[in-house]
Amino acid sequence: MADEDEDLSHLRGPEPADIDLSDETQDFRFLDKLIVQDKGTLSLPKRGEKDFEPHATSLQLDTLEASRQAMHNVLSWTRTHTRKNHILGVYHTETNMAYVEKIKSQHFQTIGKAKGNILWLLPEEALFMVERGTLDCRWPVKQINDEEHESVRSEELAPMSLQAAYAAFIGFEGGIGGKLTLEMYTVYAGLKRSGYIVFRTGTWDDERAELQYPNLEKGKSTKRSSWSSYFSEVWQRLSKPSIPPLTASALQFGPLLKPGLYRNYADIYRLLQTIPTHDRKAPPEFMLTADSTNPFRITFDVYKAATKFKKSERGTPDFRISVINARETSIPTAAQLNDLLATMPYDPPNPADNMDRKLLHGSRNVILAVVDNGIPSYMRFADVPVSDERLYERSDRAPRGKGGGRQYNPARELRMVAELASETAQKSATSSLTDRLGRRLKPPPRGANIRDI
Amino acid sequence: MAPVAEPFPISHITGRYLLFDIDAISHARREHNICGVLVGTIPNLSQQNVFLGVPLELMPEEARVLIEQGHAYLVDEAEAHQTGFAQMKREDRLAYLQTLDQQGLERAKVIQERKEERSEKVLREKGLVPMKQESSCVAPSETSESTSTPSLGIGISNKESTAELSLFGRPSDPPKPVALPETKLEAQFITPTTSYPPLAPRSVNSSLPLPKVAQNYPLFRYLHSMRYFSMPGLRFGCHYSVYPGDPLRFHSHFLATGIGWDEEFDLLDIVGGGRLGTGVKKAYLIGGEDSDKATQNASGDAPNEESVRAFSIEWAGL
Amino acid sequence: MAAIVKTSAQQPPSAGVPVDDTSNSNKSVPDVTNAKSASPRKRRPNYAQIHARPVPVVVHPLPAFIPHNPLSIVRIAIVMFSHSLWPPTSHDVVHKAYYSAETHSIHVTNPQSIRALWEHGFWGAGSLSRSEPAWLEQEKRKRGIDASQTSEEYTRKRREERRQFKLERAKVQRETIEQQLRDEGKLDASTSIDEVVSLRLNATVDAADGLVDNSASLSNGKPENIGTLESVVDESAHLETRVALKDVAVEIQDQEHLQLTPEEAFFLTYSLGSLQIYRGETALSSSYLLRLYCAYSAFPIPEDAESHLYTLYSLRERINNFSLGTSVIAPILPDNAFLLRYAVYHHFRSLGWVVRHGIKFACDFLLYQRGPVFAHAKFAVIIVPAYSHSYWSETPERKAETKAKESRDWWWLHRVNRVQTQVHKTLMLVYVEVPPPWDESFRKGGFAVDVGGALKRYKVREFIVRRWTPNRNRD
Repeated sequence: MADEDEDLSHLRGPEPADIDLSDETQDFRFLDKLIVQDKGTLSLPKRGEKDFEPHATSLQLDTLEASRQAMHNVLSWTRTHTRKNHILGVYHTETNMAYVEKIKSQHFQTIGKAKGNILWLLPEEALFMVERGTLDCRWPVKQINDEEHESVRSEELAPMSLQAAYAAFIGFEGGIGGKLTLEMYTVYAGLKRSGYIVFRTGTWDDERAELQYPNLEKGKSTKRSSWSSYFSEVWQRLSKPSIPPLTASALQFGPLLKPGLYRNYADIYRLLQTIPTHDRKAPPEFMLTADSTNPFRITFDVYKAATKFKKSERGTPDFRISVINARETSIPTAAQLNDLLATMPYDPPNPADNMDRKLLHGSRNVILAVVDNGIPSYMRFADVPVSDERLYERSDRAPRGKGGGRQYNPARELRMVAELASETAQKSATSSLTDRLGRRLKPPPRGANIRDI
Repeated sequence: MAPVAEPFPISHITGRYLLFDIDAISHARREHNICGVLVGTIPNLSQQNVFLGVPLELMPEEARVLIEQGHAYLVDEAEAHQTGFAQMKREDRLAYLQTLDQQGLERAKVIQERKEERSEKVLREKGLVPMKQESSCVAPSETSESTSTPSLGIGISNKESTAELSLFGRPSDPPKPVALPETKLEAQFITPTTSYPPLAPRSVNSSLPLPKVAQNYPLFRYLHSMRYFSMPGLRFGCHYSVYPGDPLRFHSHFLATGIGWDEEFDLLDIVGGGRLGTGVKKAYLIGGEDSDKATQNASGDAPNEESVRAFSIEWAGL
Repeated sequence: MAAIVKTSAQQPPSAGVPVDDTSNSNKSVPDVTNAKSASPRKRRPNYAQIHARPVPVVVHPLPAFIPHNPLSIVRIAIVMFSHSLWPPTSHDVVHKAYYSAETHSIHVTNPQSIRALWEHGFWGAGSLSRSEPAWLEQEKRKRGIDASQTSEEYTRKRREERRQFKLERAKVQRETIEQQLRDEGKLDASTSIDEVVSLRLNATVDAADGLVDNSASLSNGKPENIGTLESVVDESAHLETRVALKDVAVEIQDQEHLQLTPEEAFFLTYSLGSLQIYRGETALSSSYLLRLYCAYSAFPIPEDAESHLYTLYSLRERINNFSLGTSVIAPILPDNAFLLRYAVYHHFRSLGWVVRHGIKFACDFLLYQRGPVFAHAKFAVIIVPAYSHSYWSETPERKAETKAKESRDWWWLHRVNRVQTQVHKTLMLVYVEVPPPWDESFRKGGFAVDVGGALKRYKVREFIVRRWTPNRNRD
């Protein structure tokens, strides 16, 4: 039996691409052994696996010491800039941003906004550049009136340490009404390190984004040849008997399916569909009023790395990410999820795909970056119209009708007809034809139902 | 690894608790089984997320335990930097720059030496002997870019020429034909990791509130007292993944979630927790604090009984 | 009750070979793990044939129309004529069951019904089996009558093999550590490793795997002392050396019944009309059943809830005629757990999915495309109530109450997601909109519930939640 085994996890390990090395603390001694595989997955060769528990051997203690020392050494690396690649930036107190005067690097292809000769960096952009050691950011000097008013050259400004950069770009944010939090920065930096190009979605001052209406032309499948569809339509109507429709009393007290003649299971299933579901093709609507404190909003537009990327003509993002602090927010309610997805584009799957892929894709989706104390976990929420996939209409499931088979075998055909005829004759023999005809004119009996009160 | 004086400072930035001092990070790890989460980018390794560097983000629970036990204290970094840097006096700034220049120069020297060693090694392997040479002195004319009358009277603006002149005062020998390329010693610019120095260490400020923690704090504190290491366990579906030793070298034993003593929970959740550990040699752990016992302990009349209880759950596979 | 002797051989699919649902399952799967087993290779039963009917209802399709075959038209004509004069019935049998208040479930005891309900839609589970009622076969096997294997026995055997492997591995690890300690001079010949360091290695093996499947001994009525490796080895050896008796038609009383969950029973009764629940000789109406199942889904459940409800039901005529100021019958609350579960259950069943309980995987339901014998469940459904209707935010008390009921934290979500990922299923969160209170029958007078009308108020919305990793999606 396929699913009996709840020890299933032993039977198939995770795919190599699914193993995320950042789930566990890795040994810093193997820093240089990090391999980039295809599709960007990182892997470390398996060597010196971790121990299960401390067992007081010197070997274990020595290994631990070596590991700790390696970590200490790597973490002690100082950020330096050679004259050749030195980028000098200055912190701007009023906006909590940084600006660079001489733009000479290709780093700025994907970040920053140029205004004249000056390139302005958002707090997360500046902090990330400082952190990776490419930006030398300096504290500006307060021009106090009683001092000699000389413009201090940038090289003579006090450099910001990494700690100072955090204190300023994240610590001072609240003071100027900015919105960058440590969680947002953690996600930003993580995505940048993975090679993505990340921008803020809109201005973070909007109360919420716009509704995205579906473009229904996208989901339509190509039309089959009209003749064959015409004939199949005709045949469908002919072959359907008069199924007793769902009467009000059946709906109220049951059973929905009265005894009678049903030609196929698809008809039965259709009769039973009474539970309403959300219509994904309808234009979306907001269920809640606009609220700036709603944490469920799109934070970042994320683009996959591309060689020729133009900041000014970015195009549609590949992903949209909403950053959530796990310790402050619960999972979204239906209304919050509805409103969030309503601002995401309607993106139905390819109708030619198989059912599994279509279901997993959904009609709208968003990625929530949930951060728990510095560790981000990305969850993709997709709105899935399960009702669009009618299992009972799948051809491989429908049981074949009596005497089915497409091959023309005259002998067999004749035999079947003969059988049917004799069956019919037998039936007429057991009960008089007039009896039967008479009964036919009355409404069919209802079967063993208990009529409700 | 320099020794760390206790209590050591924890940077408090908008309600988060960070450590920037690498010695403090190692100290907390060794002495207090607090490992935190490294969230910074390592320079030169900025294209991967497997190895991350300073700063270390501490959980509010970790910070609280350290503070409560007197090992650490909080520093409001926004305020410290506001007063320290944004309003820095001129002399302090120049002194700071000079220190950094010094460091930058030393660093350049170290790199230079390493480079020479490497080239020597390569030549030796090829059977050639390198010629000893002094670093060439950069003529002032070559430093046209940065030459200018020092406007500050200290001469720091022209880093290169100053460096050359101060260290290599005497005229050099005429350059001989050498196999090694000429190298100029260029001081590097430094972005330090911490701001202390030049800022003076902040004193303990008891008016800063203790880190705010949730009802899973007693369980954390209990596990910590038993010398376990805990890390945030969101990805594994628990509050903390709990290690019997340093996570650098050990696998976690427990996936722990702290709950309130009288909190109702769904039985299906226990099934889920039990299944979490299946096949990965881990057990699901739930625990909480008996508030009655806790108040008893706090009042101090009865002998101190452990008020936290923990239960582990594993799939039995019957 | 006569036992049904199953003549078709049954072989569970081999470990490690996940069945592809899209392919025709008539092919037999090669038996990978039976290298050690002594039993001969058996053909898998023809599941497609056995489970041809997706629901316990008969359909009578017309023969296929083949344009180039004139005789097919004749065939069709005959069948249509026959059907109109002698209309075949869709419900060839209506199964009987009764409600068990002790187990909060519905029991079916008739063997033909048990078989039919299992085969035509995978309804219920055997009370002494893991899912498919297979107790009788196991019994026969224990008494040496039949030679094939049920899934329970198969799993037990495999678990034992794995446990042995783990013990071996733990032993090797322990020895390696011992050796290392000796090399370092921390251990001499006289001391044992346990004095130097306390190891958990063996403990974990015992905890997770050491508890042997006791169901065999329990059903015989004598609890056996199992817990050590040796006794387990003895037990399995014992089974193998048992003399295989001839295929005697032994009359063994089937002690197993089929247990249906309230959702399954209600669907069979209210939607399909294939099942009738009885209390003694009285057949129960859908209204009564709805109230009954709802009563047992609202905690705390009063002791005599079922009998109390039935008393009210028998007095319903009198209740109808009086309009009481206060309600005698507790109204069904709109977020009653049964209602939410049933709405979701009905929704997926009506789309053709086979829906089964998800307790083993810590979820509400498992969705199968065809059934558990064909392939693993694709989706694990978890139901989340949604209180979006304005009624629920009208007062602060309601707001607070609904907030507590609908909020779930991210650790919980990651927990359920991880459990599903470990077993290769995808998590589906189904939000169900809770309508404002609708049960006004007590006011209008009467026991009756407009079931269909009530169900139509519950809107269902499905979301699929999956982990996303930045690495994977680089290009």
